[in-house]
Amino acid sequence: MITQHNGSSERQERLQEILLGYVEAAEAGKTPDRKAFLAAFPEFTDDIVEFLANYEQVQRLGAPVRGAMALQGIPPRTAIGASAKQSAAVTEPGAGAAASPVELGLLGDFRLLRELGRGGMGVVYEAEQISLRRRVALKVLPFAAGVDSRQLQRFRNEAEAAAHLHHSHIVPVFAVGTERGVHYYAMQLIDGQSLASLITQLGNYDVSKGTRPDLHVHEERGRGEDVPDAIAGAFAEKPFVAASLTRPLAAQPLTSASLTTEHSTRSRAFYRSVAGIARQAAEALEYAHQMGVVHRDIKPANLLLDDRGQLWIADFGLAQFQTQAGLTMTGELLGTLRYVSPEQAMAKRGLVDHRTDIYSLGATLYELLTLEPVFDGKDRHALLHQIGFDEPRPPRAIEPAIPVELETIVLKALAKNPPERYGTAQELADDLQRFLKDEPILAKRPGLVERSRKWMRRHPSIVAAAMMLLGFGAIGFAVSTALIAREQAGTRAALEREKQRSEEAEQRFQLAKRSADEMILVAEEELADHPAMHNLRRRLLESALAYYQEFIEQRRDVAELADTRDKVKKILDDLAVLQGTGQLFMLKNPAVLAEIQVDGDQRVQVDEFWREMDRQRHESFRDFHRLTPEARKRRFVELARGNETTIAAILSKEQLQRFRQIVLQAQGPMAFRDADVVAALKLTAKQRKDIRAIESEMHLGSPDERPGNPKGGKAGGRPGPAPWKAHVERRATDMKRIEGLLTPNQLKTWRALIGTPINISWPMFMPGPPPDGPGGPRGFGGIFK
Amino acid sequence: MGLTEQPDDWATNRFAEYLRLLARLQLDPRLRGKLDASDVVQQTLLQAHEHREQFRGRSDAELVGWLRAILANTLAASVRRYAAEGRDLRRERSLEASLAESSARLEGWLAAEQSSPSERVMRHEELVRLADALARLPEDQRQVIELHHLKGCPVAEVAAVLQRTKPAVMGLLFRGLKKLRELLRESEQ
Repeated sequence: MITQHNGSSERQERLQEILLGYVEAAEAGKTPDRKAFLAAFPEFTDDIVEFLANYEQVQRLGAPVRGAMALQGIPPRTAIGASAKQSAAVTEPGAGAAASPVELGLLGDFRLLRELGRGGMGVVYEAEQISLRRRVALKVLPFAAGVDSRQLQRFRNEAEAAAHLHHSHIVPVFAVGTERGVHYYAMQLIDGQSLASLITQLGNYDVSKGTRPDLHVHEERGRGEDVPDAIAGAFAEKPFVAASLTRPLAAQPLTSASLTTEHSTRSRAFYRSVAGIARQAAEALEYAHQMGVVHRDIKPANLLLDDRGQLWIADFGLAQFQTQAGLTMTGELLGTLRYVSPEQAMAKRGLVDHRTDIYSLGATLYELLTLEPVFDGKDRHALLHQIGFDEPRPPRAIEPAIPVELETIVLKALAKNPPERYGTAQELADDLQRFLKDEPILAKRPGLVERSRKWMRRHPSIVAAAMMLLGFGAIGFAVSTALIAREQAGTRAALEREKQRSEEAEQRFQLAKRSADEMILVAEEELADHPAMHNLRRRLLESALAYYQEFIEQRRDVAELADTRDKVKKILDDLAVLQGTGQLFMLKNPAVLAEIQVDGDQRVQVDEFWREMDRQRHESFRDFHRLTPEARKRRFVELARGNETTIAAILSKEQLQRFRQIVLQAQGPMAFRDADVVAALKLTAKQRKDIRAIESEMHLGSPDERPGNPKGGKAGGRPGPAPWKAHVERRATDMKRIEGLLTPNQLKTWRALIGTPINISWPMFMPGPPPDGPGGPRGFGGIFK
Repeated sequence: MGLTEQPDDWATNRFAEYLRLLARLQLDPRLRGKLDASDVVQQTLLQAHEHREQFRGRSDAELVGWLRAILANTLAASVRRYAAEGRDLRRERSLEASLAESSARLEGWLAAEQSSPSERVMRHEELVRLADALARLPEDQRQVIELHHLKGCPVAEVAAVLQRTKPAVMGLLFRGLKKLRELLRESEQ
């Protein structure tokens, strides 16, 4: 890059080396004596003099900028060197800031003293409120764009509501304000540490405990009178046991040191202390909820334990701010996300109430007990999915020493559905108190049957809402994407416009995606355990899948989308297998067996197969409650795969083919959803849509569309068992309508696929007893809805 | 500088280079390819224009302070928006750290801004001129000066960031400073 010419190039290089020597010496704090330096290189005197003059002037001009950076905690990386010596006036506060951190600056009535911590949510300073001469913790908030006055107002309202909370376990908010565009939140300074750091500490400590046998000094704590104040008592008794043993702990407050000791012995006292902490938090929450304030961001980092073992909840009123600015960002995000409730995770706005705090406190308690987060998803998507769908690992599976009552309490607080949690924070506090007093707790583990019933009452509206939301989102998404594609950006203004559009498109996309995710959630959380709902579930998943495919086509950059798509595909594959099992039930129908000409030998084998299958099913349902939904599903899928193989081995090729034809006939309109059928017929998007419309009418249509079927429309539009005949007629009509949509060629292919119509009036299969309540006589795979 | 028209009585464009310089300094180098300082400044000026009735001050120093506040907010918002787009957490982690740092830095910067109003009055004019002059330097010279004199990076670090040798950096510094001084002298007239 040195572009000097011939002889002068060498000179220039030499000069550069000399100047480098000077600047590097200055950077190392050994600024050369100027006179001596110049004397050493007489042939460069002019250049050096000029350079130093320029250097110093620019260094002086840049000083305030460097100073500001140093104030921000970024150490000034170069000594001011040459210039510092020359012009003392230039020595900016920045240069010396690191050495004398007396004052960082003024913010209104507050003098910033030192930084206590920082994160995506802003910087927290220890500060002095000048007018009242008191120490406070001042949180400086990184507000987005500062221009939306409505959002600002909302934040202020919430923060002010929080400022009115006066409770012995809530950190008092002293002031909320804005000083020249900087928003801040001043609260009481608590000496102690957060539960987040306590958890980390306990975790670290745990790792090292094997190497510290001398730690087992702690005796089992007695229970009894001191229980209500278990923590204080526990702490007072063995103050510095742990502190004296490890260096990092020595600096920690008494309380956490004691907790650490307790934890190391896995004593009941530790769990009592933890329960006591959680009880304080629950009581504070109850008070806040009574006052109409929901925290919405309860997490270990917001729960502080002071030197007296007193618990304090911080950051009331900030969640609003966080959802608009924070929930989309930064390292703290994942930490924060771990504690959000399922309803928050799924962005069910209207459904987020005080019970969200109960969930988050449950998640915090869980982590305090087990030292592991409830869910450990490695990225945002995985984590949200877990929060939405997965059951937490029971705490005692991680640490068997945890008292079973505490496990029950935690799991109740962590219920996916708010109504299954504690109704109020007080109920949670009371149960914790019962545990502390060794009384029986009220919480029971939620039963599956109860859950199902609740779901049945709830589901129609959820499904409908998800569908509608999806419609809106997806349409908007497609339209705006198309608009953008057409828009040519020539001028700057056009570019701006386009940016705005793409932002809008992004929002629509997010909405569409959220809706699709919602459908997946409904399908997987609500419908997965209901065999009778497999068709609905499949419909939801297929729709979601279609949207995902569309998202991916339009946004090639997002790997996560493909990930979700693949997961949905996998679920659909499994579903297909499960439905396949349902189809096997048709082999129970004598007419079907006759039609495919099963001989005596085969009949024996088929009977044997049924016996085996009954046995398997019996086993599965016996284990039903013991298995996680995931394990349950795996088991069913495995069984189903095995069954298919068995039947394929019993029947001949021709018989199998005929059987498949019969299955297609039996499926009726549903058959056109089968991927193989779609491919064979080469159905267009429009045809599929029209077919789906016919099918939807059939499932969800109004009663008056069902002549001769008086009971038809009730219970979400599913036909009851009695009016089968009407249903069959209706199906025949629907099939005619669908066939009318096909081209002659497609019709020919279709006829070939289904073969000769089999003439069986009813029902083609005789399912065994339903597995569980709602399945009804429609049986395992629910082929005929 | 390609800015859209602003009314004459609202002469914020004078500070565009200054704001751009600040934006460049505040943005983490890793984000630089992704977030364009010019865009951020453009948005800042638009917002300032839209909300000019909110500006209560009279002096240029107050105006600059106000613009800085808006810039900081805009920058923080862009950084967040950018972060929201990212999905791959492993990649995002390091990015996240830098984003958090960037926005934390902005807050600190703002807090610092409040601390010494009297000094600022004197300084802002010089800084505005410095920014304008810097904008007219060749890119490589400008980068060296910004890193060394404004960010306070030692020469060795500047060399590492720009992937040049240390003497080469000194060459750029030598020529850049010379040119810069000329430009500053010019603007004084």
